[in-house]
Amino acid sequence: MAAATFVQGSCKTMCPPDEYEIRKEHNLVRPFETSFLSAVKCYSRSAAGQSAARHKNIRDLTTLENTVKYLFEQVLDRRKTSLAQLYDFVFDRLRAVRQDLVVQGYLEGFSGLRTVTVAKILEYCVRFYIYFQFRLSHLPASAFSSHLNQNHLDECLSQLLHLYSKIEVKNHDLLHQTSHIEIEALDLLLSKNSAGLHRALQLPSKTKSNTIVRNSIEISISLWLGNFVRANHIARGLPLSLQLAYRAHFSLLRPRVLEVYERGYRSPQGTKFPLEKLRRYLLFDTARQTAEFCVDCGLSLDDTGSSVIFKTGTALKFSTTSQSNNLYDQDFEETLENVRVSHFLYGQSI
Amino acid sequence: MATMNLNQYLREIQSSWESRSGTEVSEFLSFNHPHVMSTKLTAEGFEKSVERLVESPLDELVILHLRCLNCVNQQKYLEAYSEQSALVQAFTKLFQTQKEDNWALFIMYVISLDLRMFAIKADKELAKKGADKPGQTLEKAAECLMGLFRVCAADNRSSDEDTKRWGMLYLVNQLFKIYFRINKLHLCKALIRAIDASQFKDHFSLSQQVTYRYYVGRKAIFESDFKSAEKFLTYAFERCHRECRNNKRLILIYLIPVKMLLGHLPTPHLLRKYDLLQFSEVVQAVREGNLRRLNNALLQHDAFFIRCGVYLILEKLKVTTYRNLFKKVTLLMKTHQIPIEAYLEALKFMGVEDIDLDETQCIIANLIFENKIKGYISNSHNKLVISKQNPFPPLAAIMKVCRGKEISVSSFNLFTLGCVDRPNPAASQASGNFAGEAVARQTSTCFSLKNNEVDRKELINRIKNEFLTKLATI
Repeated sequence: MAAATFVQGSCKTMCPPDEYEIRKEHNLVRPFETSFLSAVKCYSRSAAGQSAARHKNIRDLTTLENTVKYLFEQVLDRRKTSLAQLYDFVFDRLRAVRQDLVVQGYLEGFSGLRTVTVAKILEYCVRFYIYFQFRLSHLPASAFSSHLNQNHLDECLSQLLHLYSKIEVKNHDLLHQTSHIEIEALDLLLSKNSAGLHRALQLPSKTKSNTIVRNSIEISISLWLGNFVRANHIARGLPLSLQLAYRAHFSLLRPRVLEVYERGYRSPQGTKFPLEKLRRYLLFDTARQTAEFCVDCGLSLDDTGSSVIFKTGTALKFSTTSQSNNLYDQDFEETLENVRVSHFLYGQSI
Repeated sequence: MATMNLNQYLREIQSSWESRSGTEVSEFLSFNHPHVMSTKLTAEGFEKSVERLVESPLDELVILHLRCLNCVNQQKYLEAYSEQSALVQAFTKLFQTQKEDNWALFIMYVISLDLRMFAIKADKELAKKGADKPGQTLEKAAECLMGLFRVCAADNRSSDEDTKRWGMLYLVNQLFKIYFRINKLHLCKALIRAIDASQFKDHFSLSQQVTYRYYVGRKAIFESDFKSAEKFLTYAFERCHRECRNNKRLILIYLIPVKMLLGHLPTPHLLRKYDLLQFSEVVQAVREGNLRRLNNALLQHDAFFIRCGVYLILEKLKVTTYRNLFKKVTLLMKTHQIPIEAYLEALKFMGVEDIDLDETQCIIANLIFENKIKGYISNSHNKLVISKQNPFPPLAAIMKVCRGKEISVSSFNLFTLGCVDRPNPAASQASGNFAGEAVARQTSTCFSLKNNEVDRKELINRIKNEFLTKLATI
């Protein structure tokens, strides 16, 4: 994108006045937006052939920063409604924030300290997607689209890594003002194939020697070797945001984990494997969830319903089961309930 | 040649062009030829001389080439690249107009190579100036070469002798080298498909085939397709000319880890011959089932392994090492129902920190899952119950059976099987055959897992004593 097509935003309110008028007229104002001062620009696909006055509808960087703070502290923290509804609103408004960043070219060039601010905003967004991926995963697809959330997380992460590499080249010291270590580790933990590991192994040794990065590499290698137990064990010592990311990634491996244990323990006579033990390995919250998952995959339970039977000759079948993406965990729920959402999103809870 | 004067140069290149001598023209346009040492070629006003003595369309190429030479002489590689890029584009246009003719392929080869070389140097120049996009010139070079590739690939009306399609593999190899360097391996896929579909697939020159297989093999490694990787890299290694030692060594850097994963360890002779002693510690460690030694070996040369991109495969050798270690333990225990504690103790002895029964069971379950151990874990008795027949099948055989494709055994003499494949003394006679995938038996020859007489604690002590002393001799 040529620099000439970037706009310099001049809007100093969270919502451009024009938009607010239009939305008010068409009854498109959300319950959260009680007045103009609490209205937030919503996401819309950029229309072609914008007028010269376009800059009036694009918020400048300071306003964008304040908008994000408002969304986190005045909307999410206040918690006046269900998490799913909060997510819906904030997801859309954050998307608009990111859009304003893009059209002003903040994701392309390097603008010194402003790039650091942009990086921080994207970091907040990344934590937002991870937080809600975790807290809403148990909802049906109609209430929460895990897929869409994941896509935005991926997009945000790659934009962030791109920014870091610019900062590193132009002004290395500024990198320390970002949370690049946490994000590098996050990117590694969420990586679906060995490409993430290849990348991580080639990080500068200073970054690699950081405990968080080192542990994340060890976790990834453990998973690469099939050592789920070790990976889960090390993951417990990670900062909260990374633990949530790890669990989100691990849920994709559940079918594989079940396959391995089924194969390893199955006998011709049929082995009874306690659901409670399997639960721990699969990172499920309850034995009942574990049982449901096993049954969905084609296994049977014993008479007491407390063990699954691994018997030679059973064929496992894997389609997307209802439980495989469920990240719900009682302990984590309690922890997250007791943490201020904004604190988590700002990266303050470790 | 190195003191050639301009007129002489121009006359010779013009005459070569007229006689359609591709090789001769290519020499005059190549930076690997001694004519580039002559300072007389880029003297003041050389362009006028070219226009006077050289006919179109060659004149444009010559001017660009000499301009490029000028930049190179001043060590301005970004500008040199610019000129070379213009040259390639001019050539692409004229190449396309040469119907049913491919004598200019030789020219195409040299100018493509030089294009890539200058792109690399240009990127280095940019990096020094603090550019934020590493490899941007190389990316542009790739686009340029793709233009040429399209001209070659589209030439399917000409006869086999005259078709430009013969140039495809050379360009693909140049593009591979670029994509690997800028780490955009996914762009290789389309090129591989194009070559696979070509009728000349097996008729390109041997050196081009070797290079091609080398990169395709490396790509397969990156995608964890080790069977294919072995196939390609073995071809490359065997067919690579014995005097190209450097290339043979490069191929081995990737072939050795892949073969090790598939159950074939390299001989010390091979490692010494090609100066790859970085692998010897790894090989020893895997052979012995010595985890501690493997971890140290990986640490010792981690920079080298990471740089080459083989670190992860070598990490995967831990699984083979576990297998070899556990086989030793099983042999020592002389029974078919081994308490998991035995393996746990072995791992602890090998310096694995912070490990428990859960993790040990996980490792064993994975080995069973990969068919490296024939047996199952009894959860209630916390024992591994192994097959009486061949509980630790030879690794090479597993990989063969597993995927149903043939492994090339032609390079067998360079690799030995891991020493763990000696006959298993603990294997009993045929009578107690483990059921395996078959229906559960009801006869008395079936295993019964009663909690037998031996006291568990006593067993563990026996493990510790017998086993640890034996292991200490490693």
